[in-house]
Amino acid sequence: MEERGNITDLEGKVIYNGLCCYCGACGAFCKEYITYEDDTPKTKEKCYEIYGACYDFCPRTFFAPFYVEREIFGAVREDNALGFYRGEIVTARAKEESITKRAQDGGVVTALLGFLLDKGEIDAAVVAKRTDGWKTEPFVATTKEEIIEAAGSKYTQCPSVLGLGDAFREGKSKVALVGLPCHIQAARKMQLSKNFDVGMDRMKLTIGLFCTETFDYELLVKKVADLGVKMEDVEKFNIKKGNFIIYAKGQEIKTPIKEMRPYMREACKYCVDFAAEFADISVGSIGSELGWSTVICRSKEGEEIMKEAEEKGVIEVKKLSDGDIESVRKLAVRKKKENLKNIYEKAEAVKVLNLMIEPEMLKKLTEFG
Amino acid sequence: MHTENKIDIKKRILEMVAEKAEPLTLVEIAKKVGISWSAAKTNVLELSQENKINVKKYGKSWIVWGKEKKEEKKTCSIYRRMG
Repeated sequence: MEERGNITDLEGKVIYNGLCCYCGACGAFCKEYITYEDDTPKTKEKCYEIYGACYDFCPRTFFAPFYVEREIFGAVREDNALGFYRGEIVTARAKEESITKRAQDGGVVTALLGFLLDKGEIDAAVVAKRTDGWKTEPFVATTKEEIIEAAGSKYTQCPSVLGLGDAFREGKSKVALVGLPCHIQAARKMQLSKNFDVGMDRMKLTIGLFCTETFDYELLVKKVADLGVKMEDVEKFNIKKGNFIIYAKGQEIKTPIKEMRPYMREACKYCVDFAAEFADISVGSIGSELGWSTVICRSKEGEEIMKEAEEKGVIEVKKLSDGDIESVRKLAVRKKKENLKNIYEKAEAVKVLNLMIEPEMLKKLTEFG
Repeated sequence: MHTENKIDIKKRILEMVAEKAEPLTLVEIAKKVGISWSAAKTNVLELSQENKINVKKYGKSWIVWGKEKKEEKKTCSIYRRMG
């Protein structure tokens, strides 16, 4: 379930092929050769490794979803829209006001991280922090205050996996990673890599965020300006009920999410993971009411953490109705269907032993009469 | 013994070139290392072939200077799993 390649292969197959999701995996353990400019990995000098960690860790070179599920969760999914999960899909929110004030929705991610830090179960959390304006960078948070400061959704891509490398280099040994589906996929590849060992036993938890797409920062600035808003005045972005919403100076400016497609990062068109299907715990706003977050527990560890956090009064948890869960599933399926079309257009024929099959025709191989 | 002497001579030439910040002539090398000019020339040319020093002939003189030390950058090979 692997391929091998080096930095030149990575450039050809991913970076200059429009597939790079800027997750930071390639440069997390290769600061000497890989840097980042204009939200893209750059190599001014090539190393001479015949096959490298950059290719091995990149979620866009190869990714075996069912293999990862078997290895990480012990079983393969039954729900193809939302991936493997345990127990029920619930809605939750933080109980602490300092968190809910700052949070995008329910503040569940911030509350869980703070809880685990207080307990000593983690010594750092890799989060995305706003820098100037709405640009983001990975940040290794080691206090509850730092985690709260980094709360809230950001709609541009952040190379969060770089933060994992930074955390390990700083000597952290119990690290939580908060990321989008692509970050989580990269982290799982790093954990399961048969070729490279970067000490991933130090990553204790992954919290994945629901994601339909990220936006190109410069294009987003332009779109926000077109809507009559200065980027520096934006207090919050949100996506709700088919609208992209900008909150600025007491105003709410809405635009249909369909109109945001031209401002999307190109690589997001080839992603079929909406609900962060490979995280220990997945969190998002879809399906929950305002001020609450939808939570999906996937691993045993994730389930135990949620249970303990509820028992200790860190979060409150409610059941989600079937209708609300269906709305999550609907959005996941919509993303998969739309992006699978893009994947089929871009992909070459798949080889199954000697048979060369166009990806969109694979079903025909197994359906008879 | 002849081989040991040869290795020793080459080592002493490299040390000398590294110690001096400026280019040297074969005469200087031969005198300092305690060998003949001809032996100095042979060893210097061999070292040049091995890509360990630079040497150039200017008229009748041979000028020798050291190679710039290229700091080897770390690659992901340090993380490679064995076996």
